[in-house]
Amino acid sequence: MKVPHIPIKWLMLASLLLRIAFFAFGLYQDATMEVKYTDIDYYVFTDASKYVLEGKSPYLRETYRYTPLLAQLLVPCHIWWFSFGKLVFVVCDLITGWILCDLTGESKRAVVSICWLLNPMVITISTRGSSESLLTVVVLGSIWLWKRGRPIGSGLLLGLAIHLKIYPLIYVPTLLLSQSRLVSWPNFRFSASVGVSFVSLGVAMYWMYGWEFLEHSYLYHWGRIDHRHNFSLYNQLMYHVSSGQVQASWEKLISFVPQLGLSMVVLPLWFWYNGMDMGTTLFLQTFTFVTFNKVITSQYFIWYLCLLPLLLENTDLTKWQGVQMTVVWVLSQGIWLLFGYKLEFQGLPVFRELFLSSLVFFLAQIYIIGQLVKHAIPVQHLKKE
Amino acid sequence: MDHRITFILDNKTDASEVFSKVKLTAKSLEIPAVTGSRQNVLRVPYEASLFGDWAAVFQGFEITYRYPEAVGNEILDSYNSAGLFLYLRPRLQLLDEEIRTIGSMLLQDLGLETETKFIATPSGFSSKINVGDVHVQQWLSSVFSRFAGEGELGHVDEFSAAFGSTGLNISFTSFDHAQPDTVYTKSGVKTEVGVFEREPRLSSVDSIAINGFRYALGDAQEKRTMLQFQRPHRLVPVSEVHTSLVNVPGLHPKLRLQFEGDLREPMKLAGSFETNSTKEPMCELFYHVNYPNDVYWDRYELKWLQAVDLIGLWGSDNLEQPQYANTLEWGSEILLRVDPGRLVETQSLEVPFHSRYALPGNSSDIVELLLGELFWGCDLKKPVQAAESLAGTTPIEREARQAKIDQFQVEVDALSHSPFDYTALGGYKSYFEPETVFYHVANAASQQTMQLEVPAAIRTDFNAIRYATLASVLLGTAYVVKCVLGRSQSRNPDRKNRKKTAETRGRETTKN
Repeated sequence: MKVPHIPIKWLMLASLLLRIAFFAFGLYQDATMEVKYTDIDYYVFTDASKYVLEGKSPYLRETYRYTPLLAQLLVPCHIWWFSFGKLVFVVCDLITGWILCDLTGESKRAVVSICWLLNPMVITISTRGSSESLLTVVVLGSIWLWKRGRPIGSGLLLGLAIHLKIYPLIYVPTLLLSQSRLVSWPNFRFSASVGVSFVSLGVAMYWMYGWEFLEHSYLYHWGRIDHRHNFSLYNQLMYHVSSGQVQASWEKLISFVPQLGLSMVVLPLWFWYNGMDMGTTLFLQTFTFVTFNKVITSQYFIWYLCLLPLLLENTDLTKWQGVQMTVVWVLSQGIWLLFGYKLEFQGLPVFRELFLSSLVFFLAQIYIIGQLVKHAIPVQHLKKE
Repeated sequence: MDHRITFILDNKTDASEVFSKVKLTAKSLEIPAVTGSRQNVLRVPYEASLFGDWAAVFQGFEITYRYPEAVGNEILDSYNSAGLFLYLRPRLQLLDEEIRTIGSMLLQDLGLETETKFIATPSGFSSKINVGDVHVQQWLSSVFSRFAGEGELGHVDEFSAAFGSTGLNISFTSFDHAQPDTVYTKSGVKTEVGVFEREPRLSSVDSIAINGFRYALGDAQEKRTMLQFQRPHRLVPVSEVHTSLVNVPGLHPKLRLQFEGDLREPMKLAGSFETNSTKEPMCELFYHVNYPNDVYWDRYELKWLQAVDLIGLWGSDNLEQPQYANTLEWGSEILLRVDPGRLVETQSLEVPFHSRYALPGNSSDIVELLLGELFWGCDLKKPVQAAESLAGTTPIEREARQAKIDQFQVEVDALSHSPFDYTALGGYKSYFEPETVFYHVANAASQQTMQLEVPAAIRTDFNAIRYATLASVLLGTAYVVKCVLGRSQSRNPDRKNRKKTAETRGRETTKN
């Protein structure tokens, strides 16, 4: 079937208009309804930015677990317009979509539309004030620059991405291995740029805010015991271990070894050894990282959703297989959400059922990873085709 | 030491008959069985031999208790928060070592076993002592015996012990006393007993008149006495609040306050005292409650509520911590200002709070939540300050204003002469100015405590979860590795292709 050509300017215009509509509705809902449209996290960011404006630490705001850079970026929310931050996130969201269009080419523009530009879930996230699009634009910007032979720019952006959230570190091996030689001048420039960007931002924030920057932005995520239920398989284990009633030894480390081993070692080597597509690998690395993470919330799905068009460009999955996997992904989430609802809002002690749901979700994710690996198309095969 | 015992007869008792049956001798006073309330107040002056290191350790401390099911009265009720509390102003920094020192002193000298959990409040530190009511009553009897010597105490509805620079003031109050008493003289103790009835013709919400006899033991003197005084704590008539929980069971319940009766400002001090530019109400409606660590308030959520302002939230307010992770704080204390104007239609208020994750146990935890205090706080200084700030008025207006200032000043002076009140060191009363009058809205008669069921994991499930998680992770990892290796073998059986693959990756190679 011939895929219709979608001119990018019309696609971007449609995306922009949709976002304006969602944004405007959000303002209306916040002003008139009891249930607010704006994400709770947006208030966390803006409360922290108010402290920054007052010359204080953003970490005075409880539950602010991000880089101070985000709070600094949102200072205009208190000087100009409270929804300024949402505008920033929407713009980042649109740029992410544009980059995806550019990376995937015309033939996959429909895929990009469905996955990102016209996806109501994505639109809702940025217009509600969630900051994930800030991360996606930086990650995809890094990939875009890398593909254009600009290792320094790519490295600087990736260093920024790692500063915002640690997980983009897993992309470094893949980008380095994409070169014909591991030890090469572009790789050196790239690595140095990542290092300079990440370290200088870290030093600057540490100089401004001291130990609490390190504690809240990074260390907190290693030792957290606020295990409020989430999709992760490890949730129940962490609940019991954190209570101090049980002897725990390997339980605290169990999540990191397979997570980092698969996402930072196995998959990059698979990419290198088989000549796989970089976008496919980055998607799989992110999906695997999230699957094995100690905490999984809906926002984390955005981390790999922004890379999905890159994967779909280089897979021989049939539509039916794609639908199958989507159903598995959605259904397994739905089961978890059912028991999550029973616990949160009905107060039923459904911890066993919640654990089993997490198990099903985890195994569903593993199945999807396996299928995507099996159906990934190496670059040389694509070229021949 | 002074020991003052007060009996307030209820309105069903024939006071003259009681007075006629009181037998006073040089050594004792016999009082027939009366129905009413009784209060014992002991004033123990400071002596180093008696108190040891207390003055070096404490600037002051106060212990208060209120029986959760107590139904008070307008004359003797101090409206303490339900439960047993210790409020501290230590001289030293309240570190672990100092807490242990304080704990051992109170155990040794007062027999009070305190936990080492405190929260910091604007007036010092507070600790809620979780002891069953039966044990509290036993402890109160032991304290009474230690300081008062002989005598039956009976059930205590309210208790306070305040230590300051002059010594220790202890008060035991029973709202429903119905037994005969005999009070004996004791060497070194000045004992006075008062038996009174309320004078309904001279009493109102704002002013209380009692009439009866005072007996000074030892001197064997009997004196007819009438007292009229204004308490800082008053009861709002024909008004009550019914407290309940909604959205339960669940992790996000709401506290619901259903108001019955009049929500207008108390009449005596009602209305506003006009200034040049603002119409400032003198009385504001507040709600205060203490909750255990099993639940928490989100201050950021509370600011979205239309009908309340968060005045203070002290103690455990970490939004993420499970209940068992907090080893330092016993819970949290919240003070809200309520806008009654926003409650006109529904006459009810819902305030959200949340459960923390409970310790894994037997599938659920029952958390007991005591009722809070709903009251109007009327600051008598406000109109005085407002009046004093007015300028440019005529002599007649100035005279009228001065009269009003004098009127309020009389009210302020009267508060300090109430015989049944003292300045609280801790608790919600200490957050207000000394010139504040509290009009309390009674809790509905049937109300005592509320119970919240918090779901918890089953502790014995740990091993199954642990091994199932491990097996799943290993299985998942192995499966992914198998897929990767299987893919590698099927697509690149010839290892020489690997170099060619890298060279053909033209799109992704950056310029050298």
